[in-house]
Amino acid sequence: MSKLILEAKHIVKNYASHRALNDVSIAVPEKTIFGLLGPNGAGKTSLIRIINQITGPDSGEIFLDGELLNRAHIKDIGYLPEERGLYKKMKVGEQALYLAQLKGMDKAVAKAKLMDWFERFEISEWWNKKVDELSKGMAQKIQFITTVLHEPKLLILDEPFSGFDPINTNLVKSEILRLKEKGTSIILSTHNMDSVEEICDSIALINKSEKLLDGTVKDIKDRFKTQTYELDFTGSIIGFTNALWTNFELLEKETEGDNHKCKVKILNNKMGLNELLSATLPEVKFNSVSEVVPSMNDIFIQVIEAKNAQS
Amino acid sequence: MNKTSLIIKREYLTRVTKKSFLIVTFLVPFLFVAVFAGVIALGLSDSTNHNVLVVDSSGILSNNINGKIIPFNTERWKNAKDSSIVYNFTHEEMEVQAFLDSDYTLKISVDDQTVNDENVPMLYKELPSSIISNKIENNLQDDFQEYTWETFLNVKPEEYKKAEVNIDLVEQDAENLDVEDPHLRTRGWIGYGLSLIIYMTIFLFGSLVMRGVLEEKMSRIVEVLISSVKPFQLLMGKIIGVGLVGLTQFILWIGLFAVISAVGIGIISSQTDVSELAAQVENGSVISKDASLEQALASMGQAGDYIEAAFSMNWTLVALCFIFYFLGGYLLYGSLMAAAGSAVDAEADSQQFLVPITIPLIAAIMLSQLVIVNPESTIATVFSIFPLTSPIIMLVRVSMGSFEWWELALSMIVLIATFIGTVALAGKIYRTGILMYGKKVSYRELWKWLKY
Repeated sequence: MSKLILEAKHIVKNYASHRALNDVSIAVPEKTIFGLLGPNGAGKTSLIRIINQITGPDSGEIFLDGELLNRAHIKDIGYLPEERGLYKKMKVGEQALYLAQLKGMDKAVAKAKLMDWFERFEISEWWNKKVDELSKGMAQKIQFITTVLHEPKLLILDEPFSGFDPINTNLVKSEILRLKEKGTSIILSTHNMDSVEEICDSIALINKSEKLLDGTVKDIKDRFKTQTYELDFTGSIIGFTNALWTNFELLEKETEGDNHKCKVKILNNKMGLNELLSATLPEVKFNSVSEVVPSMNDIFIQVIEAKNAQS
Repeated sequence: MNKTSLIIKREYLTRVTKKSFLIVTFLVPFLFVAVFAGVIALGLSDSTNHNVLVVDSSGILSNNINGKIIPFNTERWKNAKDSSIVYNFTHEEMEVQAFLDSDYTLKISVDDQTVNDENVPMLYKELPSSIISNKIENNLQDDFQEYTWETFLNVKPEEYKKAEVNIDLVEQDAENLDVEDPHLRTRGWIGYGLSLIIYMTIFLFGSLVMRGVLEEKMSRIVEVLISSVKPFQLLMGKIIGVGLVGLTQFILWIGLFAVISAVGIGIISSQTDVSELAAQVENGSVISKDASLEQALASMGQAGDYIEAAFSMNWTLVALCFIFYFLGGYLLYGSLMAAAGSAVDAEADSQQFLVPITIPLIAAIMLSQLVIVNPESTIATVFSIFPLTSPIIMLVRVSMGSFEWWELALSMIVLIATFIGTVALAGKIYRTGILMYGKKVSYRELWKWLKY
């Protein structure tokens, strides 16, 4: 197992009227992108605020890079909250410098690095503008820069794509991947599964204050594969259907002339694609075969529904 | 650099470099003086001119000289150039309708019965200000007084004046017999002025803190900030930063006032013979009670009274107390107002929390007038120690010089203890409040936050 940048163990957090986190543990491998997924109100932001030491857990422990979390770790974490903004009346450059210094950066170093970032984002001319003169997209770029400027070991982005326009979303996505390449560990928190599926290496799924599921994206998908295949073939649909014995179930079919597209689920778990193909091969001519992989969203809904049915 | 000092620096610099700060700093002393002078000027003059007809049907106050009715005491009833009152005497009664048709604005009727029933009817078209009425009443009072001395006692007014005595009660502290103290209450009013400044600045800077908190909350920057610093550091940085802005403003104001008053005294001394006063004001020495100065001050009337009272104050102590009670009161109320700001989403919603916070302040200002009347009463003692009112009440008592040292010490200790308590309390509310959006917060809710 690779080294963990962050490990949260049995975190419990209570608010006056409800429990926001109930014995939640997560492990974030170093230099990967970790998706913290769950619907709104699941407890994602509560967990993130605990990691950022904005609030403390009622019980449980957090380790950053192997050390028990403490105030000295503030400079190792970069945090882009879901509710984010800037001082409207303050000049952009001055403000970015101030935020960098609050993170413990030296003023001169911060200034040099800011200049680099501003050049790369092509916003150097905004240095002396006030924030309320900027467009929303510009302000978002600055927020992103101030989050990553101090080169944190761990970057935490809470709903990073909400409120970003498509161009900035792509910019941020490519910056996230670039930072990962450079060795930054990243936690992405979102309720929008599809947006992170492609960039996350591993995930944890939180619902109603509890962790339901975690692991690498590949493992989870393998675990939730249902032995369903999409078959594209030419020939007799009746012959094909008849060839499907009790071990198989035809889920969907789509017919266009002589051409058919069917989704078939293998019910007997001792069987596989080979058995399916050999059963039906005499009847039809196959054009293509592919495995139906569940999307994160499907898994998400499936797990939550299973959990709800349980309780 | 320490994070709290970074926050203080930002809070301080963003405010003192604003144009509005400079405008307020330089305009307020001028406005203060202008308003003060304006109030006095307005109070002394009634802008409407009065044409007064005095019907003296029995010839008590006036005499017929060559067909013209002229008052005996022409000096008293003279129509001064700058006066807005013009008096006309007659011996003939005038009908009401005729008065209404005439140019006269007021009609006063006196006769030989006036001495007995002591009431003088005054008809008006438009009710004159009480200042005008008082002037006229004083003239009548003096005239009739002289008339009765002459008529009933057979004493000439000039002779009576010689025999007249005016008693001033001089209050003296039995434990401080060597201090002659005729200005106790006047000093109280000076202290009242100082505590008004404290009252206004606590409001001003307290609401600046509140708005600062709201600004960070509404612009949603606060969560970024508290991922770098502790909420308490952010709160304290803001309170201290704004407090320093307040102190800066005071220092600039004191400087400006010194310049303005030096110029003002220069003007006064060039007009009246008080060059000695000006000289002594400039070198700050205690004024001696020599006759010429006494005279000069007496000629200045009430203003002279205040100047004399001001010189009898222990300014070092008053200034120290002023700074202490400003800072203490500001920290106390400022932290409460910051907590109020953190608990709401918009400035308009802050009223429900601001009203209970400001009531003790307003009550203190009202109470301070009672304290001037009775500075050593139980009420004065209690409220000069009670921390929510002590910044105002104790300052008045210190200005009067009417306090015990243990009271001052206790008042200061209680204030320090209380603001440490409220800052901690406000910190707890603030910590939760700044991350709470879209929720109408009740007092019950705030109580829960304190226990998180």
